[in-house]
Amino acid sequence: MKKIILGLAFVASSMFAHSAIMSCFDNGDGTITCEGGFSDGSSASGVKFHVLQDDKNIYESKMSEDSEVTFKKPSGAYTAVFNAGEGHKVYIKGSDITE
Amino acid sequence: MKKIKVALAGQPNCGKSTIFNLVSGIEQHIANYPGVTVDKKTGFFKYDKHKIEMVDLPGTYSFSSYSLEERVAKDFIIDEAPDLIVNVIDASNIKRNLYLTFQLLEIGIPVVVILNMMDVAKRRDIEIDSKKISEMLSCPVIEASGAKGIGGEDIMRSIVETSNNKHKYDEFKINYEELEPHINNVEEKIKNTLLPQNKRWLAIKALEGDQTIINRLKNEVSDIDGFIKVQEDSFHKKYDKDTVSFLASFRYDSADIIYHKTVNEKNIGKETLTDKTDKIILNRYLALPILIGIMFMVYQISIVWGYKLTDYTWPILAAFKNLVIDFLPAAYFTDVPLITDLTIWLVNSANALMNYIPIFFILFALIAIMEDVGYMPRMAFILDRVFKRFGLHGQSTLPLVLGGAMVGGCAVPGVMATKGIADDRARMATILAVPYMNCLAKVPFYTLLLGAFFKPDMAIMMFFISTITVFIAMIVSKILTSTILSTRETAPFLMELPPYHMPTFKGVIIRASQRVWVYIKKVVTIVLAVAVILFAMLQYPGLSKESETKYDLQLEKVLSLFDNKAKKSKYYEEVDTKDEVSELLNYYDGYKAKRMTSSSKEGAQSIDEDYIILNKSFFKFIKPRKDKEARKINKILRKLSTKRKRILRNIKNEKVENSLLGMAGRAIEPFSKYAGFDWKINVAFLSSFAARESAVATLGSLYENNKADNMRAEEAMAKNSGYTPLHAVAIIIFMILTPPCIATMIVVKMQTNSYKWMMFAIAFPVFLGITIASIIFTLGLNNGWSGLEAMTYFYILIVAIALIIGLFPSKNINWKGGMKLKVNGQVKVYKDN
Repeated sequence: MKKIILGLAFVASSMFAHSAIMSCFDNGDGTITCEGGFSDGSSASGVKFHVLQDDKNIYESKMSEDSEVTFKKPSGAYTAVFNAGEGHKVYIKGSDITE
Repeated sequence: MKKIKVALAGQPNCGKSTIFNLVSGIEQHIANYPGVTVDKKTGFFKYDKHKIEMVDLPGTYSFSSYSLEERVAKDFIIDEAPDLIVNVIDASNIKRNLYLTFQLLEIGIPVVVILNMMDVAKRRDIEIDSKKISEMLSCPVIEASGAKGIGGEDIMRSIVETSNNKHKYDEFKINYEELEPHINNVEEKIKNTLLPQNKRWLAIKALEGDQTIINRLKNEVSDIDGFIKVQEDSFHKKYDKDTVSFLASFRYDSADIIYHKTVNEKNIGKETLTDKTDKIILNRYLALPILIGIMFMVYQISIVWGYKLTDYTWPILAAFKNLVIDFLPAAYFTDVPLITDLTIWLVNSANALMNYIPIFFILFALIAIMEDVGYMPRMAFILDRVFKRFGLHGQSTLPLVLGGAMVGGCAVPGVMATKGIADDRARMATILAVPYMNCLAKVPFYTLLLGAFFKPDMAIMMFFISTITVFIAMIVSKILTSTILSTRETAPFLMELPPYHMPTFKGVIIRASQRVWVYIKKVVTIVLAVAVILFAMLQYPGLSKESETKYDLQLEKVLSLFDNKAKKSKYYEEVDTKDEVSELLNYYDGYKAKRMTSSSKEGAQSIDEDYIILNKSFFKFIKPRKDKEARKINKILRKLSTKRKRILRNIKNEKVENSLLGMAGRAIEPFSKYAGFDWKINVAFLSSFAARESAVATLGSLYENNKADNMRAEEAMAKNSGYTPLHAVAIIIFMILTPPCIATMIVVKMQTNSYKWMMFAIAFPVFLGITIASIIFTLGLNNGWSGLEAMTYFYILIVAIALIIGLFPSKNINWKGGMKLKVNGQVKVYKDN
């Protein structure tokens, strides 16, 4: 009962034409924080997020209510993926994530 | 400097706009004619110490019917009294074009005739003696080719010369022979009126039953109606002829005389390139595949690629928003000044619409190309028969496709593309039907619900949802055109297939930019009005006293926690007052917001530099690097920021829940319960429509769940909720029928030029949605239907209605009488013989 509304709410919010956006920071303490959102100010709460390494998912999560995800910085090359559905995906390479 | 006001007139497809762009240069102004959504383009240019203002009148075939365009054009001539009229003629189609020329000449102001598309005429071996035309009509005639950029100088010179020789102008008269005494009678009757126009012209127009003119005359001569009726009747009695067709045939004959004396078409009857192309484009079997192909390309280029472009343009909008925020009074913890809140809300609303600009630029350019090439009327021609049955027009194709005939589209560009539809009723119907199409952004919503409730039947449900929308749009437009829109003007389907042209680059770019500019200007004004109202509906009456105290306490707790932990850092004295902490918090949040908009390393660096200048000592708390003491502050600062956001979010949710909109959600529960919607769903729908970012937050926390579950959302939804697949179907049906977003409503207001229609475009679908959802839900509940069954019945019902409307002829037999034959007897006679 509660979850359905949550889900409904998220999707309702994506009923606007917008571009998905994400930006990531290196927190400097071995963790990375990525913040997602949409260009019209929509929250990205509940949007799927995963980290790719060698075409494999090494971390999977969802954006928090603040549209944020914090994860441990993987060693080696990786890509952070914000996945809000077809046409609403953002890829950020680990090498582009700076402090 | 002397000023000259020029009206540019011509039939559709005569290349008027290429001539307009040829002479008017870049100083152009575009607006609407008062009260209607017909574009009024004005161009300014200077020539030989004269400043010329040229107004592009809407393209009209004649000057005597009652289409919106003609009325607008006539009003302009009457109200603004131009010094002269420039009449553009398609040289390759001279005879028909001259019909309008005679009507313009009759107005009684000097006319300059431009033979446009001379290059096309030459290519087709049409010889035109323009000197002779000039002599016969006693007006200047200039050969030109707008597309090739030839003749601009001559046109400007001729305008100036004609205007300077105005005193030499002799009134132009066609001798209407038998009608002359009646014309003179009317002229005598109105000779004392103050209208500055030529009295003979007014008299002729009045006899033609021209309502625009008669209404104006009525102001001064109250019995003009009756007087004209008497004149018409006596003419009819004497000659058994109608004045309207009598006048028309005279003008046609006159045009014919000019044509025969001055034009020599050597290739008459020979197949032109256009004919050859049309054999393919309009071929019975190929027409539809070609049309689908072209539509697909337009969709792909404007919507799909245009969307990709927004990835590059939105940072500009976001940067603008951040810039605005910098100037606004800052928040003090959870105390956000109203002006800040409202301004951010307004900028967000405007940005959501501005984000479409790349899509629109591409779309408008493609439409301009299709118009110039001549494909638009052909498309209308191909599909008009189907659309007409539903009250739409062949030109409704493009808007509907963009709105989402394929995988999913967007209603905003769809509604914007209705601009060119000539038939007012069909245009209104299209504007109101497009929002029913399959909105791209609704798709994830369906996916979620289907995943939760229709796992095994997902494919068939998705098929139902994506194909039903076009039927609904058709039915709705049929309903609207045969009820509230039935009194709207409708233009007879007089579709001319002009020869194909190469579009000019300059023309396409100018037109696309103009339309985008008009869009921007309107968005700003309409957004201000709509967003302010919505803001108020979501804000008031606001929080109760107890809640305010509750949140204040929460904040105090969070702050004292911060303070305790900050003491452990050696930098404590930099953040030991509330004001300092507030400033640091805003500094941190502002920095993060700016970083969100820059994707490049260089961009990030320049933001760093800005923030170092802004406050050097704070910067170490944002980026502590190796500084352990600063890192302590950084850690608690991040937590503080998160906690503040949570409190703000809770405040907002509570406000929305208690707001006018929230109250509305509760108020409609007695009705919506028949569709299975409780007040929570109502608020979800209402706020998702009104307030983008708050919708998630509202519901997310209102119905806060235990966060620690690892179940997939879909499973949890199916298991935890009291909802059944039937509920889901009701929600889906409602969703299919309701308008996608506030942006769509704003463009509806823009295109209909009326807030009333905008309100209708919101209220009608909601009413329809709740009614149909209620019917299906209640029937399903009583008959024990499964969700899939309910959806299937709904689908069959809609498709059946659409087919019935589509297959039944829209025209009924409206005559009776004749000789009553005994059918049986008749047959027998034949048999006997």
